[in-house]
Amino acid sequence: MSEPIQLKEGSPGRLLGAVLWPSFLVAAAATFVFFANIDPETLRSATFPSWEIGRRMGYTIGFFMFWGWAALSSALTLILYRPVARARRRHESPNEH
Amino acid sequence: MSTSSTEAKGTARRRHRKNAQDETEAVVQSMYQSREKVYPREIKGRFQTLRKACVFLLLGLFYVLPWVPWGDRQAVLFDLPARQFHIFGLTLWPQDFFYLALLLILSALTLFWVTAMAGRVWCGYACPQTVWTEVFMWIERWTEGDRAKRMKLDKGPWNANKLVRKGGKHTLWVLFAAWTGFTFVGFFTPITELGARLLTFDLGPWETFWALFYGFATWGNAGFMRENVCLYMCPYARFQSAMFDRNTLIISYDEARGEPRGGRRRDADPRELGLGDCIDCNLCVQVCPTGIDIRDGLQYECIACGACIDACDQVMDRMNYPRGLIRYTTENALEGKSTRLLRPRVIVYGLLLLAVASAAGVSLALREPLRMDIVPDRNALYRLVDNDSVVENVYMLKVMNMDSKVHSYRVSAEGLPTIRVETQPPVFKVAPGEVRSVPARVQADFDAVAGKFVADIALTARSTDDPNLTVREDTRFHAPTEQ
Repeated sequence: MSEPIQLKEGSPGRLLGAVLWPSFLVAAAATFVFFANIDPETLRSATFPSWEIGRRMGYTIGFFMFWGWAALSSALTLILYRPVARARRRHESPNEH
Repeated sequence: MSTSSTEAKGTARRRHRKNAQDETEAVVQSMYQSREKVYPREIKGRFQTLRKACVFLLLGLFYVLPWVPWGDRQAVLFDLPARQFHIFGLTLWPQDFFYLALLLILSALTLFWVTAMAGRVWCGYACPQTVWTEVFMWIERWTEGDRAKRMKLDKGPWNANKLVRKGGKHTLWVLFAAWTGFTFVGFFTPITELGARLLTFDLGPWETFWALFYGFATWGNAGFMRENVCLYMCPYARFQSAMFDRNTLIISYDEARGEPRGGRRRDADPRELGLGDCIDCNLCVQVCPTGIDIRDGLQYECIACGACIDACDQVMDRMNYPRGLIRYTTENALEGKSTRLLRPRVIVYGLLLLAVASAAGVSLALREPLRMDIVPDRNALYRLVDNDSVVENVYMLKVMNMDSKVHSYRVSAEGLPTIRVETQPPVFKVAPGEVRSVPARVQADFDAVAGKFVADIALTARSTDDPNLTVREDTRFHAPTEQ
């Protein structure tokens, strides 16, 4: 029953996937490594001691923060990489015929 | 498809009518065969039995483990709010992150090592994506029927039958996914408690969120995305080829033996017809969960599940040809060269694996479930007591009990003549997981230390109930500079 993915190269859905999915993987790894070493409770008392943030909330904020920054990096990569790729293709196409 | 092979297919079709029913289906269905939507056909055989065994073993572990008790808690519990991981008798603290890192390195090395030798066995037999997809496909087969029935059902109009079958499938999928999500959260929250609260609709917001999230991911990935996860989302699928060489086990079609492919009567001699052993029945394509044709050569879409081997072996048996037209083999073997198992990359991965594994094993075996941090009193470097005859330094000891039961400790000092230590109280209890701050006064006779200014000493905390449980930490002792 699996549907084929029918997204054209450069379609918004595909670009969104290319930005959000790798950053999700990286954010998961980063959250794991970061919070294994740093207790969100300690972090809170060192930064915003007056705020009421539980550990679970801390983990969640951390994860979405990592995801956001990683997604930004993925998006930048896409933007910087694409024009070059397109130019190269245009340059190469006459030779292929 | 060339004309000759279409003709061949015609011959094959006539022959198949006389043969087993499922083979007949195979040929009739081949005209519906779509590269866009994959309807994997069920197949039985050695490798599918092995896969089924893996599904039961791995998913069995997943669904059963949280329910296994160990003392007064569950055997495997990742208690995130308390920041401790329980794995049977072992309790890991954030300070033990080192072991978790080692475990990840071990897993990665094992994956590289196995991939270098046996190819993508991880993908075919152990990856959660493949394993859960299998279960979702069983449900699909059970409710909607085999490949032909599923295709017919999808093409047909919405009637009562389709509604019941599709509705049944989706209900079972959602129930199974929900159970999976619940089990997942059960690794992080005691599952019996969680179940009781589920029955009274009293789940916390995070538990609800993660149960739904994991359930939804399972449902989407195993029910709908399936091979697309392997094709488009999996990083391992993209870089696994870096571990491959010409001696790596791959699933391959023996082109030299199979070509030219074509249909023929069962009693016909293929050599006379100028044909190879491939009867072009297309079964290998139909059973493929990723919808590729293995006869086109090694493709990165191939998850090495072995379904095409089982399908082809069945056909070879029926044709009275030797098995193995599609088989596990290596590039070298296909070219008639010998395959070497031991080659530099296998040896290097293996040695690395052995080194890390033994390091992890030794350090885990020697791990002391006790830690002590020594914080010197910052107000005064030293003070003189007992009519200036004794020099005293004050420290705060932070003693952490990482064991799963209560222990009492006593502290001793060494490193200077006449040195002694007095904690408040002299013997103190620390609960499992507790960090207890204990003030300690370390004293030495004035005559023994005067003029030293600063000396290295060591404090040792020893459990009074288990003499093997000790921790020794170095610190500095300050004394007056002049006599």
